[in-house]
Amino acid sequence: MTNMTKHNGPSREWLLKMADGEDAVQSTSVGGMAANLGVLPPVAAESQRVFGRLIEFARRARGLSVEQLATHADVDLAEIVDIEREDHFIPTPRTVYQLAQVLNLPSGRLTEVAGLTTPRSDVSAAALKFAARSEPTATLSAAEREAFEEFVKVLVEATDGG
Amino acid sequence: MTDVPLHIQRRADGSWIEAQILEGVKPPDLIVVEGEWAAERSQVMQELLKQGVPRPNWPQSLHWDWRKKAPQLKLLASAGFGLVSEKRWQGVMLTLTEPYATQLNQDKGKPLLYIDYLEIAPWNWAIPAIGQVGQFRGIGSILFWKAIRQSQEEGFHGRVGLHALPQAELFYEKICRMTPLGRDPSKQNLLYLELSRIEAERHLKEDNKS
Amino acid sequence: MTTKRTMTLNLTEAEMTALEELCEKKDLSKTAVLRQALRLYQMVDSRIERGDKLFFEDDAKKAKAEVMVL
Repeated sequence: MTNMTKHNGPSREWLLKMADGEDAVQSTSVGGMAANLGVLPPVAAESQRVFGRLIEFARRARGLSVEQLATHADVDLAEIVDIEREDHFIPTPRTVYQLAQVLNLPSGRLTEVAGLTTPRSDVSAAALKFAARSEPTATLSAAEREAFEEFVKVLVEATDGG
Repeated sequence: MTDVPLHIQRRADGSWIEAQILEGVKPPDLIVVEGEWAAERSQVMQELLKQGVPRPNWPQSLHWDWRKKAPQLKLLASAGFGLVSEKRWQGVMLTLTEPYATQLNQDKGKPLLYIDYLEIAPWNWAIPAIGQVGQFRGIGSILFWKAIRQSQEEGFHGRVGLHALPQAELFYEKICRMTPLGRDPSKQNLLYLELSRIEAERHLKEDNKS
Repeated sequence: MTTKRTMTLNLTEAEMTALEELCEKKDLSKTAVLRQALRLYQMVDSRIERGDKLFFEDDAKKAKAEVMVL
């Protein structure tokens, strides 16, 4: 926080009056950064980012390049790139199925993560936790591997249980 | 101009805690902010899921990522402000002085301070559905106040414009007395509002009187 | 406050008139007008450098014209 100027603020009376108003409403958030608002249902938008991360992690955990994954899964290379890089990309059911086979992930649960079907709440919770802990870097760190394995475990358990 | 040192109110016991408004927030600061807020946001999300709170009732700013805003701060037209207390970022605001101009009739075409983003720390959110009361009160109001002052300093006479998230529309229209000027298709259909010079002066007068 | 530096500008009569007209129209000081101009110029320049194009759109005439910059 270097080179920053510190300033005084408003009077307490003004602030108290405004804060009462603030308490009466839900939020004071401003800006179009909530990019999915009104464009995609939020759940789907959240899911797709998780889906992209999951595919990327699963691929890297198996030491596959994007090209190799595309070849093995018989999926267009551009589609794999879109899945991994574009938050709002919606994969086709066939692609999800093919990827599930190659990456050894339960395909039913994977379609939930992809946002193609409504996820069970335990899958959603695990997906969000995974998204919060994962960063796209070249190799999987120990923490990322742990996050990934934990998520896959929930997916498999969800499959076995239901 | 009143010269009161800034204090913010803790909700739990009503006590006033020292705080600072920081000017000149830079990209590395936003990464610190994101680091502080991301973990907290994820906890809020998990709690919302656990309690089965329907998605429309979730805070709409849950998935913002401040790091994506960092490159914009290199422009002369943009500025970043933070509200810091207890060594934590309690709120952040990014503003633009170009290319937005006033749409309100009386000052049409004159410059205004556009609030590009304004957000308060997730621990300050009041989310009754999960029993979270929010740590400090009025953080959004202080940043709004800072926007008016900044607009004055720029020579824009306190004029402010912004696109509010749906859950925040009421705050800016009713509490801040901004004029709604319609939904903006280029900004996810968010409502665009403006604070007129007259209302800005009223706010500062009320602030001075007290 | 950020430290500010002072400079003298040599403007022609026409340039000074334009500046004064803008001050009047935008309700700004001369410094504020020049500051806004610099901000906008830098913003446009950085977008053009990124490969973006600048357009003027006329809703009434349904016309859209690219502005050639630099």
